[in-house]
Amino acid sequence: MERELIAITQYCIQYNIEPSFISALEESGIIILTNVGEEKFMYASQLSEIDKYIHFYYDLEINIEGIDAIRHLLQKVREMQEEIQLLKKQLHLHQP
Amino acid sequence: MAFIDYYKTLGLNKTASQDDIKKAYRKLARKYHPDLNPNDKEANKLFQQINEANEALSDPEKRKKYDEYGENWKNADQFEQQRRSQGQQSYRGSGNPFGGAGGGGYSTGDFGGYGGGDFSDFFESMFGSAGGRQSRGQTKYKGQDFQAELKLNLLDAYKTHKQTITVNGKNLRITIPGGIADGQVIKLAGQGAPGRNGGPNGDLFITIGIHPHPIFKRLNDDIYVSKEIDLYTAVLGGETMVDTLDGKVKLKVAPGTQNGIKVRLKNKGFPVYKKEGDFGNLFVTFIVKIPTELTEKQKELFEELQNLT
Repeated sequence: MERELIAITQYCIQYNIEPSFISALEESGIIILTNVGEEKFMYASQLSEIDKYIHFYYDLEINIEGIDAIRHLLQKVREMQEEIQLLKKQLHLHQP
Repeated sequence: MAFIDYYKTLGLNKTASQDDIKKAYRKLARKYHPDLNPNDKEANKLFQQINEANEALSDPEKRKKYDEYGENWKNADQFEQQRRSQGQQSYRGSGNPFGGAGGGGYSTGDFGGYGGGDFSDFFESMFGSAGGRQSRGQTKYKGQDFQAELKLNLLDAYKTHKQTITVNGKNLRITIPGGIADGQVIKLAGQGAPGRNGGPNGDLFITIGIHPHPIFKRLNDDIYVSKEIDLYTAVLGGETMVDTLDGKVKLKVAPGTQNGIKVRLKNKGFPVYKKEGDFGNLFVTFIVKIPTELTEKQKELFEELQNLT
């Protein structure tokens, strides 16, 4: 499947952020980057996630380790919310 | 329109320094930021409130005005007239002393993408609502994501159809695929608020809510329905008509059918989302109706039956 790629340098200029921030996200395993020749690229599908991490880092002053921890916790929250929805529906089935 | 105590919102008193405001704001923002509180409307609302409080108090000009008028903001016009007549000071802009002051209103400040556009009438009245400052120079911000809810009944969700929704005064015609689930979110890329400084538009997220149906109950792609049958059909077997989502079907009732037994009708359930031709199952639960008012003759016959067993 073809995946849209965005050059890190372009992205950083457009969003006025340091490339080191993107590198730190990659080093921590939070995002995945890919190389095309010498240039590093991100997948377009990760854009909204990265946008969120920019808010965390620059606006909320949460460091990379904090972002990683939040990412895991948010995943758990989402799974629990889905489970609650399913349980509610199952409960509804047994209500007269 | 009620007065809003911005100091109270941030848990501060009037003597708070700019640094105190910044710290209090960041602390509360970390607690209530929408990205940290998915699907939590209350947190989202609180975040809007603290964002608004920060917008008013972190800007010295706005803060000065807020402190000056405070709870008497409704009388600000009178104060202004009095002040002008005394030749002490005049505000920029004429007419409404609040309109256009404070550097032309607000932006989302530190949180591009959140909080903007939803400030209270009180804030708008006091500070206006255009333009604004930037926290990271000429950063390009993605526009605010919009959230909307669309309520459907179960039969609407059964078939692929088009719906027109109005979001921020704009009519959008969207296709709702059959089999959509309660709580499912449809993303319309680029249909949120415009980006700032050349940033991309935000997205529109539509959460689908499906009203429960009085007869059909849905679990994933399966549908559950109850069907009453009389005692004689349950004992001797027979046929009964059962409602499905696309009409009635004739169903055989096996002799000796027990109360509460479930029968599965394959592919008579809900369509599988975005898998054309795939359907879940329909489960029919038979409820055997026991006669309560027997004639003398019926009673005799039941007794006869009882004696035979």
